[in-house]
Amino acid sequence: MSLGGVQALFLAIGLSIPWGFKKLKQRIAFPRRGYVALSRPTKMFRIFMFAIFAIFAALFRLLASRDWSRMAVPVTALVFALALILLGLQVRLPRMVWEGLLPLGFGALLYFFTAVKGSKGVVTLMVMIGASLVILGALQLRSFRQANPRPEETEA
Amino acid sequence: MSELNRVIHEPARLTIIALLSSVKEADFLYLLRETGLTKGNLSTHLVKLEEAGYVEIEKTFRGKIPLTLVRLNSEGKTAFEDYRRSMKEILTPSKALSKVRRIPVHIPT
Repeated sequence: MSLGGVQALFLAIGLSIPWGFKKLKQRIAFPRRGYVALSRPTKMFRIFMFAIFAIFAALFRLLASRDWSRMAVPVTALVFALALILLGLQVRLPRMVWEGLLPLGFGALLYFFTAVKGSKGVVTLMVMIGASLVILGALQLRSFRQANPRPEETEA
Repeated sequence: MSELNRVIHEPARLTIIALLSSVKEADFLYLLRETGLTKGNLSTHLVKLEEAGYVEIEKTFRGKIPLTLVRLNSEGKTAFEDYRRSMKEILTPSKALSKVRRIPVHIPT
């Protein structure tokens, strides 16, 4: 598969994730634990998120312009780590904040112990992150279903 | 204590309001599991909160399953904020002392 094809595939997977989460919640989480919609993030939190992303975008541009081939993997790892941590804070999932350390670990592994660089390194990193998150998610889902059997009656 | 909102001050209702204040909306099952109340108890407290004008209850269906959505309205949010402020004042030692000093004491003769 060409690099464009891989990018299109990642984009499609990325766009289908919110839909998948919504379906999982509707079918598994809500009938067991009840439905809850979180409040919109506060203005301060949104400003904080925006500031973090702005700083990071500037850093990304600075590093990418210097030596993309060498810096692609660590920079992408940082982007993913930050995205997971901020998402974890927004949806109040401490587990997700800890999972933000995974991309950093994989990034360090690829950067220091392998010769994989540039776009190939980014694809490898994304596959590693994706696979680990899918495995962790499946384990979490299994333990959630065991701990929360579906009640026969859901309403009073 | 006279400044405290008695509708909110009741422990079960305080738990419900505190939960609802941190989310946009929740259904009956979620509140049931999070508060640990019985169905009847939760229903009664929700009705009291609705009568006080603090929560909005929407009865609907998700497929064939009945769904009761509960959300704190603006009046409820204000009342909860006032309650928190009152509690904070009472629990702050210096402020509590000044309040106690203002209470007239009648000593029977």
